[in-house]
Amino acid sequence: MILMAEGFILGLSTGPYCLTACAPLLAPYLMADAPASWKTQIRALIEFVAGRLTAYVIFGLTAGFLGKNLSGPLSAKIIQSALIVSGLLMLLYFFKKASPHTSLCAALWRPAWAKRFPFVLGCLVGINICPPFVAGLSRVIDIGSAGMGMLYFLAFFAGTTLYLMPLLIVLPLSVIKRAQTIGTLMCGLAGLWFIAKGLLGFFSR
Amino acid sequence: MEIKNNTDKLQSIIFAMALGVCQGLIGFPWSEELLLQVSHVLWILFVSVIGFLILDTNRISRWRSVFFVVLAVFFILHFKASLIGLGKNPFFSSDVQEVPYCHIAMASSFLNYLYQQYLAFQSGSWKLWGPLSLGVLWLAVTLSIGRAWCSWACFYGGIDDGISRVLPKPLVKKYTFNKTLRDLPAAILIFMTLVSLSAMLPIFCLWLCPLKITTAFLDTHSPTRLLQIILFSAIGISTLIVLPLILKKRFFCGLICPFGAWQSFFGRINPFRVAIAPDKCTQCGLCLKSCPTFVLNDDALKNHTISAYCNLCGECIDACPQNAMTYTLLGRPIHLFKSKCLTRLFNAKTFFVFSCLLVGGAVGGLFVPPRIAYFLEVVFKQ
Ligand code: SF4
Ligand code: SF4
Repeated sequence: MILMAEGFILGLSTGPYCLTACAPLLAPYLMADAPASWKTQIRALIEFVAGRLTAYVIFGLTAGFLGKNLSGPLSAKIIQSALIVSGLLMLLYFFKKASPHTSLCAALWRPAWAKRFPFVLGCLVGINICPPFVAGLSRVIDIGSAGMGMLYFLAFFAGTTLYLMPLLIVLPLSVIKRAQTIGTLMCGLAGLWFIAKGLLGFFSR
Repeated sequence: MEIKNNTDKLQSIIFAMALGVCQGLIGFPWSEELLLQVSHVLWILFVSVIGFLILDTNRISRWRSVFFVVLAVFFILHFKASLIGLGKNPFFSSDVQEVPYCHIAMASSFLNYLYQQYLAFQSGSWKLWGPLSLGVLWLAVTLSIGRAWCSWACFYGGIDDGISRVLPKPLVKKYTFNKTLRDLPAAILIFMTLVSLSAMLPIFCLWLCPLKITTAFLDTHSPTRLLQIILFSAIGISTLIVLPLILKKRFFCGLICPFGAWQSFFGRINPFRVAIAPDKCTQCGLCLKSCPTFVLNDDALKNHTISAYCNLCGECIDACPQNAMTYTLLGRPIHLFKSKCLTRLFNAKTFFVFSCLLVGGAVGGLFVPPRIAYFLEVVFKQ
């Protein structure tokens, strides 16, 4: 119980970082994802949050189970790779929005895959970008138990998720045509930015 | 074609003199040494002559661009000269530089400034409230000239404006322009404010802004810095030099600069607009071709609407053979007086040009006179 409270408080105290870390990926997506209804948009946000939760639980379990083996260069590599994959996904999403009728785009974005996009993005964000996540991870490695690690991350997740709610203000914007265009262009920029960041992370090591 | 008489000329002179007096009132360095005062007078004279020429020849953008380019050239000279004066390399510096108080950097990391203000407020350290006073300055500029900042007062804009005027005709005349690209500055602005907040660094300034050429950039000792230099040089060479040169368009200001987007959004609080008179417009498309920042397109012309991205440069007004494009106040040309003579002096265009040259003159007043003083000193010492 104390451990869960600790995770929750860590989440609450570091949550603003989660907002700033998730916003560059989630805000463009929500803005560009039109002509979606409010319901679809909120579902996308929930899926994104669920993706984060899944990543946290898997990481909590693995980190707790493997203990110190997951720390150091390995986790750094996972984080950089996740950055690059998120960047690639955003770039793909940009191409899908910018030229949806090209055959390559159509092939890559089969309906099932497209529907799960926010979830996948949430998973990747959960793994890589969030500095508080790294803080939580090192605590779980210290705990060294899979079950406890998972509980810790669940509580941490609850604390941080509260801070994602401000992103809901983007939703009314997405009905505006110009905002959709801007969101689409932002997806392209986000793609390039996260790929570059991931690659730089590898090279500067 | 307007036929000019002596009364018209007199009106232009009155306009220029009023402009000169107002400039003197708002920023003359009364307590400084004589040389600086003389330089200031020269600068005021220059701005007033530009005002006179705009009114007298009715070629707004031609004379505006002369003023605008001079502003940019002096800005670069001033900063480079101070770097050389400090005994440093004018292009690279090994010191970690503070991010300059530049409007482009501030807009694209606006959330960081807000956060800093919040911290300053919490700590009670009033010294950290500097950006707020700049905010007040920005508000004053925006209330008086709004989006026109980007064609009349920005000390960077003259770079691509000047280069786009080097050749008499564009080297490439036929190309397709995807009009959604006009929203790229807005996308850059929003995305950069988000990543800047997440990294707690001014990302646009560090990674992309080619206008750092006016100051100095960090040395290339790490891969990250090297990549930053490669990126901003590539953006600079392509959007400030090559593309403006061959297409005669202001690529950086039209398609990259986040402050341009910022000003397009907030500039709406300013009442000056460019409007198309539907009854005069023959849809010839000359304005569309002349617009240097990709604001006009076929739809705009058909609907006689001009988007908020317009920075009131006046190029389309100069280009229109039917006089269908004009400066207005909230879409209306103003006629305060019945007399033709007074109307020529008091209308939306003269109010607008007056405000722009006053603001641009005040901005230039910060760095042009010290450079003139330096040149005068060099010349007269020899
Ligand atoms: S677009 Fe940017 S660089 Fe160009 S004039 Fe405006 S603020 Fe200056
Ligand atoms: S629409 Fe006219 S005034 Fe506005 S930016 Fe284009 S050329 Fe300049």
